[in-house]
Amino acid sequence: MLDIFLQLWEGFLMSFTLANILGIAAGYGVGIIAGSIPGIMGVTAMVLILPFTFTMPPLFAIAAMMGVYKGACFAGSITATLFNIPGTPEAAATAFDSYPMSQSGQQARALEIALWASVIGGTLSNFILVFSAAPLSAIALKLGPAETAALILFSLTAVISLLGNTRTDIWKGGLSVVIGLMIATVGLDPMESTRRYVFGLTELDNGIPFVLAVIAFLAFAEVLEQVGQMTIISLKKSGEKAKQIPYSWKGRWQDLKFCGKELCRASLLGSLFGAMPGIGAAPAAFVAYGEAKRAAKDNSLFGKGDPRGIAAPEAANNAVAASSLIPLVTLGIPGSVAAAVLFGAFMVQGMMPGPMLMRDSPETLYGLFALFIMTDFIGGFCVALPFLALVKRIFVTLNYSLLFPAVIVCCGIGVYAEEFHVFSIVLLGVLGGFGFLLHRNGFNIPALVLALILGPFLERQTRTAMLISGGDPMIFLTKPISAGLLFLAVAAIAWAFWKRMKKGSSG
Amino acid sequence: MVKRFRFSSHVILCVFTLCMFLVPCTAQSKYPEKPINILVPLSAGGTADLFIRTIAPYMEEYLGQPLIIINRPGSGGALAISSVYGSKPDGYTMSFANLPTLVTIPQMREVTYNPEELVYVASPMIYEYILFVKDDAPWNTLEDFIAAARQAPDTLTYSTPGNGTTNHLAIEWLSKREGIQMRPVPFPGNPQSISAVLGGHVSAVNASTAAAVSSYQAGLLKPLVVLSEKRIALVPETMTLKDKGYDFYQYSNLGAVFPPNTPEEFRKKMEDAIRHAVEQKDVQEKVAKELFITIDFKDGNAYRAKCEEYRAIWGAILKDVGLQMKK
Repeated sequence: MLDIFLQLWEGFLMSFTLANILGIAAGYGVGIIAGSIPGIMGVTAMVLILPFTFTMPPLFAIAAMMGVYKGACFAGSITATLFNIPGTPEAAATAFDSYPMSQSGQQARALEIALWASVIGGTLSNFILVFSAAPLSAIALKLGPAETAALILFSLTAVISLLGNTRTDIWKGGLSVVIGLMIATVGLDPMESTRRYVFGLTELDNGIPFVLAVIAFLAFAEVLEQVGQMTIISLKKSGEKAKQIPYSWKGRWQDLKFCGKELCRASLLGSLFGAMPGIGAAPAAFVAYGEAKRAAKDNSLFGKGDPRGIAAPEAANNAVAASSLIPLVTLGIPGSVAAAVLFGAFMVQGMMPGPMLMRDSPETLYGLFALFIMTDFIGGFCVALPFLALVKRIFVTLNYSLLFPAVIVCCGIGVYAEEFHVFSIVLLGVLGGFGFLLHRNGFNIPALVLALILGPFLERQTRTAMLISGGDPMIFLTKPISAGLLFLAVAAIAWAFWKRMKKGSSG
Repeated sequence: MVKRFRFSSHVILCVFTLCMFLVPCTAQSKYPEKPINILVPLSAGGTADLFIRTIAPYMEEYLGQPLIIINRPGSGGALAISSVYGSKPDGYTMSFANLPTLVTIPQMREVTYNPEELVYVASPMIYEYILFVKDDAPWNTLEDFIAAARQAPDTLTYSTPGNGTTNHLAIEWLSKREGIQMRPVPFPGNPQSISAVLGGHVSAVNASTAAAVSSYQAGLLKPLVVLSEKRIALVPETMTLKDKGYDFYQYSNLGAVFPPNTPEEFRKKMEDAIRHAVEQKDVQEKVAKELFITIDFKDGNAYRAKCEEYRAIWGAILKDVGLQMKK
């Protein structure tokens, strides 16, 4: 233990240079801008700046990449808070509470809670990466296809159970998940490459790209919804209808105390989700939100602007960022798309991520860990805070009749830039319109998006588990972890129904 | 104030803004003039992926345009091939493809592409395979493993990067030859199939070299046999199938393909870019010492010829092990 501290200290001595700090700040800035534009995901930004890092010294290059990653991770919540348009799918859970809070005039509070939760979640998970990467990765390896499938199922039921106040809402939530899973099956199937639900359109063979679907459902549909609600009178300026309430130091301290437990729990949860390759940040945020709501003594404010409802998902999705590097560092296997891009950055710099890096050049590895820890602080304090001040100022004078077309242009560009197909834009329109109609009819869009992201993964894991067992579905029940998770999934739904029933009978 | 929804002019405006993207723009000059999408048929961190990411900067240097590397794993690589097959033949979408997988999968199941119509760009390298088990597995040799499989038919499992890949078919050949039965479990790529062994979910993995380097060097994997013709520097002590008296060896050629009807001019340019990349000293050094991959450049014609050759050889193997599709 002491040994690790010493090495970390040496890592700091090596990494704490002006160049690295500037690299992080620049990267974080790019990440924040990318993350707060709906249509551009953090990963896209990482891919875009990767070529610029080729000629940089290794630590500097990785620092910049890490900055982009973390910046985008946080920035998704900015647009979620101000406009209910999550810049990234993992911020969708944050919007449940940060948007209502911001609507009540507390934009500053909502944005800052999201920022501090991001910094704290990221930092805790950095330390988990440094101190317990090996045991966490051993746990993650033990979770095979059956357990992973059960975990995904559990995440989906968690989303269904936490949204909505009536029984109809739960049914609609379940239906939204099913619709999401159905959209996820479009295209060639991942094992046998059979065509499914493409209706003769070869363009659909690749399936519906998840970035496109996320943009269509979370951004495009929401813009249509909000624009539709506008009247000529309300069109003028956002600042006029929502007064800004300042956020005092005392308020900050109280919020931190109030959310402390949630922050720790959510960071741990996020770190666990991150250690498992392939699941990603969005489900972690949703599950953390669900856990926060379940654990709260008084959860009547959830969904209406409870600070814990912002802190938990933000801490969790940022915790995923660091811990998704655990498989990369311990096994040399990238656990997320972002980790795969970082993998590329390592390779370009002549480093092979994996257990050998720890053995052959621990000083580089600990230098990296030090960089990760620095990223959260430097990014949070030096980049995100001034950026938020700027955002707040713009928000007061913002003209929505300019904002919404701008958002749509961003969505179009983002979708087109993925693969340069005009068909993608048609698809964006169709899915966005579909999402808009679903939303108007009270369907649960975040649940749908989560199901859509996890669908292909759920399918593959389920089928792989069945192949391992030779077609016997009992594998899901004979493995203790998967049986436990399936039980929790059923319990979550039952709990939700029971809760609503009780509420219903008592008035 | 109660907000009432209506299909106002704003909604229409939004839709209109989106439609502006649909206006086509046409302009052609020298290839390449924009970034090129490169599909990798297997998952990130696998052998093909590591190799492509190693040569990509040098290809970019030659082409003067960035390459966008997209991992599209699934169905043993069929998803990526199907995707490139349906793309526009404008030289801006290329996929890497493994041979013999390119010709074996269409003989095993219905696919949405015809490999003969693809435009073969070049093949930069071959990669080789090692059969691994977990370090604490009860089997120390191939013979132990086969004996265990014989004793309990249809219980041992092995992971592959997809049905129809070389990794899968070689073990099927061995099983047929030894009269044993094992269950193949397909994953999106070698990193996942190796993790499955490390986690104890499957018994063995037939992995290509580069993907296994870090786990093997960290002492997490135990090699049983080398499936290629000669021994591999990564595991110099391990015998090949040939050493053990089997008349069999396997390796894959990684190559690149363009959609059908791509003009020769684009193909040639890309072929030269790949050749340029593998001729670099540092690429050769890195590939040999860190990834344990053998560079073996074949131009488009040689690659196509190899394809024909493999179609016959692996067709016979497929028939032998009973995996060929019935027509």
